Amino acid sequence: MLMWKLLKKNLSLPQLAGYVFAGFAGLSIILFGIQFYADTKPLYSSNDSFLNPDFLVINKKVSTLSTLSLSPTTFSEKEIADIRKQDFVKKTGFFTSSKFGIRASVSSSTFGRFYTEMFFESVPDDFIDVQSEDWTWSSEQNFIPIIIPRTYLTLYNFGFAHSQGLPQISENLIEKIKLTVTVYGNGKTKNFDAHIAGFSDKLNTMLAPESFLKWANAEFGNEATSQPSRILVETYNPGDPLIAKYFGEKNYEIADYRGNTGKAAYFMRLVIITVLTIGLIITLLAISLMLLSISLLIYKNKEKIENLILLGYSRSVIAKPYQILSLSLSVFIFLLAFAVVLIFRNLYIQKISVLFDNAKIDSNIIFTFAAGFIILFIICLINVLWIRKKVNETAK
Amino acid sequence: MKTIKLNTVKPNIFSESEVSGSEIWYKNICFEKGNAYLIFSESGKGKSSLFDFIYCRRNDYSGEIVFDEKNVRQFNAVQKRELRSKHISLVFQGFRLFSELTAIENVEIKNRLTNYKTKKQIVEMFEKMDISAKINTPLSLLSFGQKQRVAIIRSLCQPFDFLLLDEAFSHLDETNYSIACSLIADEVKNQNAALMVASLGEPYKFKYNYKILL
Repeated sequence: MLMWKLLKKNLSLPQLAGYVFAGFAGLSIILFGIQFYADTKPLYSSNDSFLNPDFLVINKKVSTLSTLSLSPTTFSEKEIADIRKQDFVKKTGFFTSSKFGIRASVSSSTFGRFYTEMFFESVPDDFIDVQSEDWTWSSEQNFIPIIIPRTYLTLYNFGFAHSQGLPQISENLIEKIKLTVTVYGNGKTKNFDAHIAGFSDKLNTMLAPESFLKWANAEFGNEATSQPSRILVETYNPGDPLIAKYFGEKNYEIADYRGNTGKAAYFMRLVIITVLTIGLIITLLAISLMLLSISLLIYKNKEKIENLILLGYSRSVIAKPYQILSLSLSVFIFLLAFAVVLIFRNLYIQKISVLFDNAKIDSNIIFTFAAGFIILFIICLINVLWIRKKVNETAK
Repeated sequence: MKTIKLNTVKPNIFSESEVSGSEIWYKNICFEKGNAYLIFSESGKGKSSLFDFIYCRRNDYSGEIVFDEKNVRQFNAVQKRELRSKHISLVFQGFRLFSELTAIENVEIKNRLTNYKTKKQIVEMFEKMDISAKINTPLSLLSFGQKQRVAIIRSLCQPFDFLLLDEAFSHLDETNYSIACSLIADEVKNQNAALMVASLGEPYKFKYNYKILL
């Protein structure tokens, strides 16, 4: 304590307050930027629970001519090859349609019993992002997972159920309902259990696993396979303006195109990077202020430090009070900044949840804490080494 | 540490003719543990410089200073620390006390490093030196004579082989320096150390083995 009493002389409170304030501002901006980016990232990705946001679904526009079969809505080999050639295309995939009869029925105490004719399509499994154990089918399996368009549920909940006085159903609930699917064709019939494994905004179709459709087409199908009418395209960046231009020129449609989301995500990234840069600059300025302040303090205490050395004190013992001071201030700044980020996060996270009701905010604060901790560590290291250097210079 | 040898040592600022009458500068001389030396000269002959060289504070000299068999010019920070806390104690002419601390804190800051005296022994020294009333007074409020006594007490709070007093009684009257001398002589005898007193000529109350003109 004697050392502290001695060396705290000439300590400039305004300078230290300046360091705390600037450091706090810089670090909070950095941490807030990181946290905000982590929290809002899901909003700029597609809400499809299973389809990668970089995928686009392409089909030809249906016109009077196509109804008259003069202009086919299927893609020719040549057209597919041309799409594959485009720079923005990473990968393509095709839809397989069911060539057999399907009847789905559900019976429950709430809904009574109803049934409907329907169809299935499938896409290659690597385009599907449902957990793999949910999205498999083998010939021994009497159970089919299916994915339906989210709009069907909306249609039911806000149109049909409302007008018929039936209860509305949530996504979670519908995933628990068991369906019975009857497959027939080629003079054969077979019953399967089915359940809804996910919802899609982008694909207006009923999806079943590809392995099931291949098997069932061979077993019950009665038509040779034809050219695909819809193509899945994986892009490098869905916000790429070339995409809209190319498909527009070809007169193809992009289902539920989220090019604007891609642009917004890009813009968001730009803003976050700018904010992080500003935060970093302020933090660097704060560190410079602290280093300058310490240099000045050590310089003003030059004589005392020399006298301590002449008494036989080691440089590290003399440096320690300064190091403890700067470390405590830095830790204080870090905790303060982190607390403020948490408070603000609580405020905006409620807003986000209200604005985007189906947004899942599954990000957490650990990453931000880790980032802050690394920055803190670097700041402390710089301070400790700088003080040691300055005391050594003074002691010479 | 048993001996301090000076081999043709001369401060860089002095020319050879300036140090011609000296029995130390530019000569070979050996100081031994257990002896008392009076080193006297008029002002400006380098008494403080000599002690600065021995205390390893400065090395702007030619020739060499050897402790036992070690040339001190190459001493590193750790060796200097060792020297100043265990082997050589010096009462600086300018005291080198800390005005931010009280009188006793100025002594404790040294004793904390060496753990050589108990708090009780320190207080006793203050009493003997007749400044016990000022024990907790901030140093900046003490007179020169009082500060000088604090500096002397501080120099006794460590083990040493050589005790160097650089005009350590310049602000004290005869009564006070007599007390200080007996306190110092006792400590030097206890530690079987060498005493090196730099003065303008006044021998104070010590018995010397050698009186050397600088």
